[in-house]
Amino acid sequence: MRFYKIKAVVWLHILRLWRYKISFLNMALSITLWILLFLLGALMFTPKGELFKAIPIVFWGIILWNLMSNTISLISGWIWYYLSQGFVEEHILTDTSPFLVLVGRPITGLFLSALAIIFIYITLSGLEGSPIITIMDPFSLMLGILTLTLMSISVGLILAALSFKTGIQQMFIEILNFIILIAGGIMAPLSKLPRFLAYVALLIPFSHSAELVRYGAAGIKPWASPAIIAPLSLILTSSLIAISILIIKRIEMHIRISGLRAIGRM
Amino acid sequence: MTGWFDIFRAYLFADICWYKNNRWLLFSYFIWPYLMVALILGFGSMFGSIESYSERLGVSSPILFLLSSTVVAMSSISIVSSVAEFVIENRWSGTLPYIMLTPVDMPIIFIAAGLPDAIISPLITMAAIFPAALYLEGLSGGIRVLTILIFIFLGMLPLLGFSALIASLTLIAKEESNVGQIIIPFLLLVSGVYYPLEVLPSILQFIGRIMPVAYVVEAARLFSKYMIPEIRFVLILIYILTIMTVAYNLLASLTLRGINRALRRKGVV
Repeated sequence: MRFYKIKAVVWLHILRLWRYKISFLNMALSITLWILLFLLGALMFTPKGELFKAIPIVFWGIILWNLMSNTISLISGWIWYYLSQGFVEEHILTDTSPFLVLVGRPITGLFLSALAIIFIYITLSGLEGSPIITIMDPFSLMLGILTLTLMSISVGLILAALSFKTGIQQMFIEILNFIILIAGGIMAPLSKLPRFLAYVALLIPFSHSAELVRYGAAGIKPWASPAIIAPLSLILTSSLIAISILIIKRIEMHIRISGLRAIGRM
Repeated sequence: MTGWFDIFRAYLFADICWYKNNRWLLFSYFIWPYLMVALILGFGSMFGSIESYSERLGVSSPILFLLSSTVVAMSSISIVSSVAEFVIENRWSGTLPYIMLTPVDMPIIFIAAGLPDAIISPLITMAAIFPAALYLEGLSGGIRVLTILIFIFLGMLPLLGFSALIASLTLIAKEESNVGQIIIPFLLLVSGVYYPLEVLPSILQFIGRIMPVAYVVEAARLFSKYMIPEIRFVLILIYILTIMTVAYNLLASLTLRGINRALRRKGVV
């Protein structure tokens, strides 16, 4: 692959990010508001006087969900625009894989997550009145964030690739994000989930990275020793990357032979 | 001469076709309320208990309240999106100038086009939670959610005007990004969909008090507290929503007419 193509893809996404800056700011703020809406509702479950003690616990959960959902939905949810504007064919004609363009989408997703996290941090710090970020084990924290981001990119690319063939809708992606949030051990440590959900969460690759992050940030004991979870997260991440590459190759071949299936209005 | 009913009928037909061709979307409407309630319940259970929630909100049936509030939230999302994003969507597809050149008044187009969604969305989401209401609270739960549905329809009338106002702002701003995206969560946040308004800062409480959604949520809270609430409280909510219907729709109508004239003079949309 020629270097100039990668440079062009990075340039394309940074330029789009700059041109759609109001939309970008709008989206970051709206993510913050949605999270606050649910958070305030959930905080009503705390007994009086203990209202904001729980905030630091959920802050990392919010960061993880932001990273995961923005990356997945901004890669796979962009397909509609990418297809409807006829860009896929354009890229194929210039011998550029449409997936190379999609691989650049995390630039937008990660910038968006970063801005939304800053907004949420400011808001929650205002409510809490004391620092809400703690770091106990930087290595586990970084590894957890890295593997979760790579897994999200892989899942986003898998969904994007499948939607070229089957027509996956935005609503499906949103529901998937929601289910992972509830049952995937993203928001709460596995030890706090009901037993059945904890078993389900163990099957969801994101949960292991989330456990690493919580251990690294707040010292919350994961379901197994970090010495087991760290390599497990790396293996799962590598597997997801490998699966996404395989699916992309297959779908790319399929597109070249049979053409595209558009997914319509979302 | 094309009137509001023709526009309403056309959009109703478009919506029905849209749902028929997007069964997955229709199905997702049935799942969303449960997912949202599951999120709040799951999230909340990490911090405390449903009893504390019930006590703080002053409701005897917290799950029924959460389900009905979710229907209010989802219906509001649908209405604001369909009206406020009407301008953006048509601007994106290049049809906005043609719509503005039709002989029908702008306020009529905006409101009549959003009306089918304002009716269909609450009906679908209410149908989704109805079995849960029956299961949790028996026949009384079913009757209560149906009463809340009437309040949702009442609340949708001023919300249509409010959404038309937002749409008129996007006409002047010539903004291509989807500003409705931020209005929706803000509207729900200040309306206290899942919590009492009192937990918000006073400026947000004030904004919440002038939003129709807050009063529909109040009705949901009232009917989640009592099987038969005091008629006085019910009437107060009806009066407020009626006044808001007149105020918001009048304001939207005047604003849209003014903007329409200005845009026609300039010849730019």
